[in-house]
Amino acid sequence: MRNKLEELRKERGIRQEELAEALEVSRQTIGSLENGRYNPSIILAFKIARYFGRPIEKIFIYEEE
Amino acid sequence: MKILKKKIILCVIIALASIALFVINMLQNVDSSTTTGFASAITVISIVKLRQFYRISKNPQLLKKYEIMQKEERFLTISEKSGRFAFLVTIVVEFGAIFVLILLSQNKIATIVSLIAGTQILAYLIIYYYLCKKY
Repeated sequence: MRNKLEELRKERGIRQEELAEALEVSRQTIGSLENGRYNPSIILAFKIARYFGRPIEKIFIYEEE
Repeated sequence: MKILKKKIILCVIIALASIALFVINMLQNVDSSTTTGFASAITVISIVKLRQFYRISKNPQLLKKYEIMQKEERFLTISEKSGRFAFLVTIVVEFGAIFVLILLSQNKIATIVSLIAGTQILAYLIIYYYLCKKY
């Protein structure tokens, strides 16, 4: 699964630490999500979508392998 | 604070158990430096952990960070994965140990290790079926 987290975060000019604090996760989790090493739970995906004010499917792109 | 309290209670229990193991081992007057070393190592680790928990409980910022980390989904996923892997490694090592002990004719110890391995597998199966019903 691809995501546009890094792109959206940079667009807003926020640091990983700030995003992590807002979402109540660690900075490492934000890093892992941005690198595509970790896929979030549906709850965290909703939290991210709400934070950026976009639908989930606009942030997380599911691609069949 | 709830998570931290649980961790403190668990740490105190482990510390007390390891101190008891250390004392019993000393009172028995047998040469078992491995058990003494193990008990003292666990005691020291528990005391260090308790000191760390005390420091966290006194600092609201650290406490908030700690509670977030404990509930954090990536941290929980990693813990579950490492737990599963550790379980597998333990079972393989135990079966290896049983095999070696039988070859060395240490049947009593082999029986004890077999019982431990059996209990582990039984506990795993019970928890597995309980969780299957729950979710």
